[in-house]
Amino acid sequence: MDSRAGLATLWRWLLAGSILIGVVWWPEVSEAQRRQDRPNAEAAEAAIAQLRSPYCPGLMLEVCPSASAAALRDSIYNLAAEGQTTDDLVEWMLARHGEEWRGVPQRSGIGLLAWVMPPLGLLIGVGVLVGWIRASRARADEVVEEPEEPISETDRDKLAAALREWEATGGEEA
Amino acid sequence: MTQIGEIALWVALVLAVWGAGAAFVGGRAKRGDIALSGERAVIVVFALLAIASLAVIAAFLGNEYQYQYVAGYSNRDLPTFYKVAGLWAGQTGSLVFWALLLSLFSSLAVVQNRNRNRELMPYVAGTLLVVLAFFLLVIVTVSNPFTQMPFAPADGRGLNPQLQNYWMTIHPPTLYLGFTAFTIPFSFAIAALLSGRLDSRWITTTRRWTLLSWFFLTNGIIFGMMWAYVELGWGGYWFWDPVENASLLPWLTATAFLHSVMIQEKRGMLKMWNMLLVVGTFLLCILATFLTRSGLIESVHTFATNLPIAYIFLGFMSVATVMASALVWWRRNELGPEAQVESFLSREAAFLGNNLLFIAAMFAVLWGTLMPLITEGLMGQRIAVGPPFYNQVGIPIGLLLLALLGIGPVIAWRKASKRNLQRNFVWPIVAAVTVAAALWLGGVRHVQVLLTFALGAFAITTVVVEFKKGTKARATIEGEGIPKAFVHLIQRNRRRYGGYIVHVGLVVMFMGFAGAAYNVESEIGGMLPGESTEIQSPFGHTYRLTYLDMSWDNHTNGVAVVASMVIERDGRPIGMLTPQQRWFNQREEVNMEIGLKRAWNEDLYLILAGVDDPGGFMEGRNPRPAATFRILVNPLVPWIWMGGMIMALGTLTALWPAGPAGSGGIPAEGTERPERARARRSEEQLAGV
Repeated sequence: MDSRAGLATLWRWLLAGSILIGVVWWPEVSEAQRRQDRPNAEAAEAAIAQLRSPYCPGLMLEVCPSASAAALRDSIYNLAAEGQTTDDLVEWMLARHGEEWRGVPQRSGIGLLAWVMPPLGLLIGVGVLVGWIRASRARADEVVEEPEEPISETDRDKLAAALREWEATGGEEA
Repeated sequence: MTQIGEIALWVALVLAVWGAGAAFVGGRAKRGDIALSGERAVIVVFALLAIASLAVIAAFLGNEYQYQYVAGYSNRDLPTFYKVAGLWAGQTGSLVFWALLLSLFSSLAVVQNRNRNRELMPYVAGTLLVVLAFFLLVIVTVSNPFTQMPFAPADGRGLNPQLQNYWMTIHPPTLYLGFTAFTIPFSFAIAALLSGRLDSRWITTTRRWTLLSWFFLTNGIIFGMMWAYVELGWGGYWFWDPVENASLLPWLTATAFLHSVMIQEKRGMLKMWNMLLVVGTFLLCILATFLTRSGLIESVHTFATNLPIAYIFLGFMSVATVMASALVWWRRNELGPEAQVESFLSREAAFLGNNLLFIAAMFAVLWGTLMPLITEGLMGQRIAVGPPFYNQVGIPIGLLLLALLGIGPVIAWRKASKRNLQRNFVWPIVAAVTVAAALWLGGVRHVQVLLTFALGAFAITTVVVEFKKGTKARATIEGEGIPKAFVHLIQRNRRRYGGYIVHVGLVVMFMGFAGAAYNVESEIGGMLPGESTEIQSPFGHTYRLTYLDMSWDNHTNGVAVVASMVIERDGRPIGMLTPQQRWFNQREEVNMEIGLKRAWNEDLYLILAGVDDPGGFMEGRNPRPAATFRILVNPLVPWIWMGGMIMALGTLTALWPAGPAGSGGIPAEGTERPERARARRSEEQLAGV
């Protein structure tokens, strides 16, 4: 590739990059906007994010649109305003409604099983795959390749034409 | 009509059992006449199931509430549209619908192969009929749509309000088409194992079936997301519900299969793995149907627990797993590889990595979904896992897949040289770094969002470079203009370039998912008509919403309270939204109809969360009711639907039948002249396949 062609390519990429910057311009959301205007709201939000809603099958409490769920969220915000921690708020809700509404498994006891198994499975999979590829590579080194079918005249002509073109474009394209 | 329908089901069951036996015996004894009887049974079973399905629909349309199923899912005021869709509204009808679609696809497969694959077809027909016989047995014994009640109520219970949405007529059939279509590749795989024809023929024969199934599964899942987004009224499209997960599981393994099958076709490797993937995907399709309808795990899709069905399905899945595993074990020596992986830096290794990640994702989702059952079995207490678990486990896998999406298609087969790596990955890496830097400068600090966009740019650039290289090579070799060369490039290898388009769609969809990191939400209670509120979008727009008034009206099947909100964006009026709360006849639940204002990059999503004294308002005592609104701005959600459309376009490109010889299309397998096939392969190699 000569220097002019290289500069042209670089220019094209800079232009594309500039367009991308314009397209994906994405200012940060102010945290204040995301939070409810209540004291200790972070603790309440963290607790609500860990709980499933008893009023919407399968939905988390934070997104359940039912009026009863809204009332429960309000209660949690009010308790948070009184100074309760996230763990206290979660336990308060579970004590009233039952352990089955915990939406995020605990990282201890039987709940730990939920967190450990997926990464463990992936790790085992990686180990098996790496071992299998290594063994396969070792077998490949032992195999003596048979000579392939000779190339046809048509293919030879097309290959020659393509190679000429490839060389003409500096070997970068085609 | 209903009696005819019930008789049709029983006759279909008898015929399916007969046909399965005849097909297997005919195949084993090399008796074409007996095997043909089995194949013909497939077509007759389809006709009988069509009659039974029409009978169920007729019972809905005729308000025949003496039938338990009709009374449970319909009522007199229900629009005709939903009465027809009543066939798949509940467990009983949807099992009939499942069997109907499976028998349709089975008949098509039998007719399509009446003069081909004759040594496989008896076993294919036999396997299909065994699956059909299982479903028919469940239907006639424990889930019969024609079960009558001791009395005929004057009206039915009505359809669940959440199902009274037009997506009801689109999403379940599409998903079921995907589930059932995958039974065809499964049957061919079993036939290959039984007959010992373990070369790649069963794979090339079922290639389009696999793609068709994948197409329907993909679109079924996306349609379900769209339905959840507009109907459930909480602002999201995917909440890791067990039934949503169940539809994702076969999609993940089917996608792994679509990739690993290429290694078998190109290199004669992974034969056993592909068998296991096909069997696994089929079983996951059955699991999805089982989870949807058994009610064993709490879900918005299940409304009652049906233990007999749960045990029957578990039994079938266990038997199918054992039989299929035994067959694979029996043929293990013939399923050995014809070639070896020569390097970690090769397309084979990249595809294996991709398979590993898909299976890991499947395992993580399956684990989370079954967690309540596992913990209940171990300690007697159900531990459910919600979206935070899936997001924490799934996002790293998703990001790795995104990286492999860019690497897999362009890395060389067998062993990549340093030059190959440089040539193929320099520009994608430049694009990834540029996009990440641009977003960083734009204020984005969310690591997962940055990675998604960077890796997405990497993957899209590899596709763009591939299209460019291929088009240029073709233009040079064939002397064509660029646009013509581009079109012919795709026509000559629809599967490959269709696949690239699917990759682009998936990247766009992932970028749409990443937008959720910047969702904005606000809840305003006690708003009175005339009052306004504002919300700031992550893209810097300011939405002003003015509560104009409240109205109510009777709709076909109940009553709706409708709020009118005038919307301005950055001071300019952009229209009105009318979120609603609906009460349905015969049902006590309140249903939300959201208001949605879409832009190319974000949605304004409005929920009427509460109305003060709605009874008083409708009786005229409270003409200006206060209302509670939940307002959300969901950035990049439209990209998810755009990505879905691009994926559909790519799959259709790959699925599109080859044109006649000389028109530029690829002739069907086996019809291409050897010299032309060699020339085409040579061209593909020149283009960097």
